[in-house]
Amino acid sequence: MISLRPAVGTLMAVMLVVLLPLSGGLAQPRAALNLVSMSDRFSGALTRMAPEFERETGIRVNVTVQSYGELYTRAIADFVGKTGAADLYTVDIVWTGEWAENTYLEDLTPLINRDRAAIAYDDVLPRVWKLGEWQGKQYAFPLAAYGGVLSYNKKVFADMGLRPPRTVAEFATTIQKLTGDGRYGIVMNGARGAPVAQDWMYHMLMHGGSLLDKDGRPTLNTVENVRALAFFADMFKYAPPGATSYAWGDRELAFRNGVAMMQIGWSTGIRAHRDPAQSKVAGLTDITTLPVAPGAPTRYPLGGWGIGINRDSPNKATAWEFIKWITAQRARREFVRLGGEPIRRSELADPTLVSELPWFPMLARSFANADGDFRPRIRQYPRIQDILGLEINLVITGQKSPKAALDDAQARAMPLFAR
Amino acid sequence: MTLRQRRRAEDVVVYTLLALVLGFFLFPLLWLLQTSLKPAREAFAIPPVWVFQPILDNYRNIFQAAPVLAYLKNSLLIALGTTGLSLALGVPAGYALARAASRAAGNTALLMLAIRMAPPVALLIPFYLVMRDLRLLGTYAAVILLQSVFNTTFVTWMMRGFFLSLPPDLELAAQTDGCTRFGAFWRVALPLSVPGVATAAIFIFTLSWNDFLLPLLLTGRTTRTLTLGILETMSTYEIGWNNMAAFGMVTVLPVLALGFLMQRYYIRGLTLGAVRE
Amino acid sequence: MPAPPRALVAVAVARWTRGLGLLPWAAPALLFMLCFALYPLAYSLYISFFDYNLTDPTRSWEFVGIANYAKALADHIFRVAALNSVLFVILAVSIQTVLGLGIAVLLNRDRPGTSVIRTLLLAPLTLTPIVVALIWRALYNADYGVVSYYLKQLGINVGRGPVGEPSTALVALVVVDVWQWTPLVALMLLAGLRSQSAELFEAAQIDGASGWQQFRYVALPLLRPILIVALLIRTMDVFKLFDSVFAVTGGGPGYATEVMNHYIFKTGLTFFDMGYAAAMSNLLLVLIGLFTAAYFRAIGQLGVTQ
Repeated sequence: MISLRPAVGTLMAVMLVVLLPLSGGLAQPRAALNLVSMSDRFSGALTRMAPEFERETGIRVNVTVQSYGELYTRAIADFVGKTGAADLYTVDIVWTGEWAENTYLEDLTPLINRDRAAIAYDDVLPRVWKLGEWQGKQYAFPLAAYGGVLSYNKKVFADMGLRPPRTVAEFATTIQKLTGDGRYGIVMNGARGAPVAQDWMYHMLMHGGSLLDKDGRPTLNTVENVRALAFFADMFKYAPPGATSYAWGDRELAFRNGVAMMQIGWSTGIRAHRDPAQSKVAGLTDITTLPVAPGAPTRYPLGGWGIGINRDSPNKATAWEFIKWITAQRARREFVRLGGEPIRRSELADPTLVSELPWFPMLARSFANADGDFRPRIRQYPRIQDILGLEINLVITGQKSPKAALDDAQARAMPLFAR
Repeated sequence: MTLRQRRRAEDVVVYTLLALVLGFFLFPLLWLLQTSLKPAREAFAIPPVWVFQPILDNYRNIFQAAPVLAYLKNSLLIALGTTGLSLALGVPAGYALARAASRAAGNTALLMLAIRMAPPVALLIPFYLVMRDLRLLGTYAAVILLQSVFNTTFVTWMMRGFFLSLPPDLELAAQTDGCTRFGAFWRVALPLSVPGVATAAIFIFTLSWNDFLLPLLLTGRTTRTLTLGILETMSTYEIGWNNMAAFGMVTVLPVLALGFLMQRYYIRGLTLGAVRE
Repeated sequence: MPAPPRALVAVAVARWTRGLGLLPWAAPALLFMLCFALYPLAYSLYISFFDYNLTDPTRSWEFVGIANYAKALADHIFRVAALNSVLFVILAVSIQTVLGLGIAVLLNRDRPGTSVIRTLLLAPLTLTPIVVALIWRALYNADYGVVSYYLKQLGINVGRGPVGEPSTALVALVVVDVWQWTPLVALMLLAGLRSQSAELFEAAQIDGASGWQQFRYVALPLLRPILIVALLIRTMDVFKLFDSVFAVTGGGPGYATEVMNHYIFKTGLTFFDMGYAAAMSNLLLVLIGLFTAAYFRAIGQLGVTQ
């Protein structure tokens, strides 16, 4: 087979001559940087600030915005194909382990140590460094940190004499009280795959559960996890009926449309809640930290995005210059204003920003107890999430019991850790 | 009941059914059009709003937020490249398989059809690895090559049917007049087959333009198509159904217009493969 | 008296060269197919015998024999996906055929407006499938979707929505396919009906055949070749179903709408488990081959005779 390759390769090469004029898109050394960004709100900030970087440094940054699934698939394709199609990638916190272990990303640790003062290292929230850290080394620089927070309709809460729930039990009763008259107490992602898996993981954290034990072995079917899943599945009774096929956008829409009174989600959705052009509940919402089960440690979800350098990039030094620029204190105010999320203490305490984004103090409280590991950043995470995404979806659509589903998930996850 | 009464009753039934048919098949397209002209908050109002002040903001939004023109260019280049390559390979092959009326030719034609049956994903996985080894991932060429695999089989099969329907006498006459075989094809058979080639071209262009799966894996940062761009409008946290609809209109309009403008060829193409076997 | 050997040879050579003279004409296409279709397929067969995962350094390239095939046949999700694919094909193609035939008959006689309707029916089949999928995803949304809203107004309990209920999700996706491709079948059959000569029907009428009898015993048998091609084209294409599953349900709820293409795509091109994905795609090819063969036999035995 191997010996066949050159022959067939030659044949193909001959055929390709016809297509040579169309072979645009091949990677070549260049002065410009290519950055591929997730299509979250912060991508707008990157797109709009890139020209500023070019004005200051003369280096052009082409920002390409892609949806989540496409970004992941293409990034892997770029890495394993060693095409160097992009110099910089925005890196979801949960991809860190896989991308670090497979050496897809440049280790930034030496650069960070070298420029420690220039990047004001200590100003970045310690827990936020998880956005890109793997086994003591930093593979991505934190770019936009998200807190998992509880958003609620404060108008309806006030009308009904309710206060934001502090415990899981209060959470359940509040949800039940709010439901009725065409209102729903809560809305959650139920769509098979990452949407339902990730929303369930908030509940897992609230119930004190965990996906791995101390030694890093999967423990998907612990008592806490099964309890969290039973609770989660039960809450769909108080969610819009279609919620079992909702993904993030649908869930946010249900909250913004004033159909659902509460939701747990990343803090990057808050601005849209407050935007009258998009939201029917603008001015009526607020956020708080997540309720916690009795006896469970106070840990709040941390997620978000780092920015990392492709190992095969021909422009690593320039790419690092851009990372330093976009994460520097002086660029952050504008970055956050344009739709980015904070990573530094100075941003969360910036009076200008706080007056415009008044939920920042509450977000800072969430970050203070932030747990970036509730979704383990291990190499196997994407597969585990996929397995959970199917099994949990089976539970919320009434096709399996919580215990059976998590037992099956555990059985399917074990082989991933065999070697 | 007189014949006339029966005719009238029949007309009523037929028109009622046709109205239902038309309603069903046009409704989603109308929804797309009107959503693309609605402000964000009204896009998902319940009960649905059907009368509103149309705005063009969504179109402005998508052209500002995404490199729509670049996507348009990429979609166009890939569709034209695929159409060109498939025709260049398929038309002569169809001619050869039609005129060489041997059993081998018939079997080759069947083999072509069999390749067309393979689902893209079956070819995509090995093709992806091959393109990776050739360092062609992310190029127009990668998409064009794989799309052309499916479309060349289609052109060959269709043009074979077309040439079979042309009597070979004219070409033979041209050959006795001193034309070469190629001359006979070029000057006699090809001009007669223009409607067939046009039909094939429209079909391939549309299929290539509408393709999502192959560009998803094989295009790169600078070669992405409209079908990929549309998913961008639905960022994880803010589903912009209104923006999606505007993007959708931009994506479908070219092929929709092509279908309507060339409907004669289009409908003809639907039957070409069928009539001659 | 036996024919002189030399003449026999000449005839044989002539028969060969008749084909060979045209060989160069087909050569580029055949060579192209060899490189970009047959070679990848052979390569796919080859890698299906290896444990080969692009993103897992511990599973780089290990010969495992037929383990991937055994794994696929034992894989519950793969079996469900195979079943769903077949079910989808049967449902979609049969509904499209019946509806398409009905529409073709409605449009067959020229009435004012029918040519406009014929043109408008072209719209669904030119539309970009990923856009179509997104449209239906919005329409089906249980809480804001227009379709769900009007179903509720009619007093129908949509529950979690057409694509949210495990019992209706597959059918809801079939409706999307029916919406997009029934016009294709209808227009093909219409062209077939229009090519039939009026004299045949007049003769049948003189013999006292009713409208239904004319259709059943004259028009339908004559439509057979076109009908077979339409069925074949649709069967091949429905087996390729991907866009609507990818964009509307992601295979859910549970695995109610998991189909082979989507599962193979996810295995091979999201998790980059190449050996396993290749094995599954080869099984899919076998399934399509078997299905088409069985299908043709069934059509042959069906009462639609000349």
